[in-house]
Amino acid sequence: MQAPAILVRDLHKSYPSIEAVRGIDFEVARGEVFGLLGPNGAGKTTTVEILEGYRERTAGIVSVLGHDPGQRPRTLRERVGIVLQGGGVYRHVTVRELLDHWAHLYPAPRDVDEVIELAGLGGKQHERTRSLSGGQRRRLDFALALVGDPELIFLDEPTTGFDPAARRAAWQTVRTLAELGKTVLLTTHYLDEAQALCDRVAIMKDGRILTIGAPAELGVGALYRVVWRDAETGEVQSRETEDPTGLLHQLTSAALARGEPLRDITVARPSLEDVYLDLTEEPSAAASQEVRDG
Amino acid sequence: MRRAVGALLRKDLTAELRTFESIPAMTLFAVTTFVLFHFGLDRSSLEGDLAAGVLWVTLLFAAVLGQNRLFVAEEEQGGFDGFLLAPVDRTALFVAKALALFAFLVVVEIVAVPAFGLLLLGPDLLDPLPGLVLVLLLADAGIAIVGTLVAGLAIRTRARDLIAPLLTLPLLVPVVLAASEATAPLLAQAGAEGPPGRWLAILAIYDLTIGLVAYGVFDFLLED
Repeated sequence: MQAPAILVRDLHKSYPSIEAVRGIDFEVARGEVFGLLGPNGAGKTTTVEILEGYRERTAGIVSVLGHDPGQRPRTLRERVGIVLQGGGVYRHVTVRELLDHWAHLYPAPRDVDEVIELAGLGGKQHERTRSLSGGQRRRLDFALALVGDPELIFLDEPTTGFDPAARRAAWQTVRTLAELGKTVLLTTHYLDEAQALCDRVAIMKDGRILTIGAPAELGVGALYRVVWRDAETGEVQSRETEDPTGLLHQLTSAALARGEPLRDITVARPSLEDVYLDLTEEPSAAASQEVRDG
Repeated sequence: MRRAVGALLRKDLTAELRTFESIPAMTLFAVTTFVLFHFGLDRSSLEGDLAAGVLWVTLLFAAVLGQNRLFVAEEEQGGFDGFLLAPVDRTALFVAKALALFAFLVVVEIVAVPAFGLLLLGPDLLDPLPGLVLVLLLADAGIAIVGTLVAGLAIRTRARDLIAPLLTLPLLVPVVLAASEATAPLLAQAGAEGPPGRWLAILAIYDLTIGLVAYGVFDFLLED
């Protein structure tokens, strides 16, 4: 069996005032697209920066492609690509010149023409980088991460600030990376992005991983939610059940007996968003008050 | 490493050719300073020690102008981050930047030295030119090495425009001293003599020593 691309065991990172990462464990298989989700301050970026070798860990075991990233070994740098948001994009050179420049710093770079095509910058290769739009700049960031032909690519909030078209373009680039067999670790706030791109996700909060699994499987085991609109009051009703068939039978029979339609009826498993909100939502002030009073 | 140095140097020279951010300012500064000396000293011509001193102090301050711009693109456009991620020896950046500053100085001197000869120098410039070129190249190497080292140190500080000259000028006192001593006989009114070998040797030894020190510490400078 092939060793995982990333292995994290009991990782801790403490700052003088806060413990940002509190003992997390996960693995990322080779060729997998893995997402780290969580609210601000969850510890995602700290975790990724430790994996990239930018930040030193306080305790725990971390292996990236078989190397300790804390040592920042050259052999690891040859095999890892990091999408820097705008980093390394010199303004007075063309797209091609820029990619050619960074390609010269890697021992076995990917062909620059191929990278330009992969990133969807075919029509812009002779334009100066300063004249690119925001979406094109982001594609160029992807291209820069690809030019060294890495096995593992880190994407930290890759589509933050994108317009919808640029987001879709970035998603397509990530899918292309996956098709090329690259391992991708991405952090994101956007759950639709994680759902669309990731093979597995880990949801983090307060420096801990709350759950981990395939986006479609995270809701498995939870109750089905049946929602419908009450014909008399017009209000939306919902009920959670382990047996949606029985509940639907009950609801439709009752509606037929009354001669009323059953409007807007849906049956759904909790989505990734539901699971995420359920796990990460802060208790409301009222609920907190109740707890205190209770 | 040669491949990385070549890429970094090519990028810097391309950027300079397209933006003209450093060389024109350095050249203009040098020529303007010669004009100011011309009027300030109230002398139509200089020779010997005074001529050498004026030439080297002017070139030194012009170099500081270029030094301040040396790492600006890396700092402001995220080049440091990209470079630190790349699997190349960190000193490739030092070598490339020092070569870029050296090239800038040579270009500046191609304009500034004839301007100096025209505006200030009494004796003919053509006779001592071969010797002067040798001194210029040796001194430029020292200035480029120290300038690059200090620029790399100062670039991540808020007061980099202040810190860079404050650190560079004392470190370059031996270069100015040796270059002036080596240049003075070349610019003598009585006729050009060859540059004293002792001062050329001092320049060469200084270049070698400071070059080795810079090569050794630049890696740590960049990491921190």
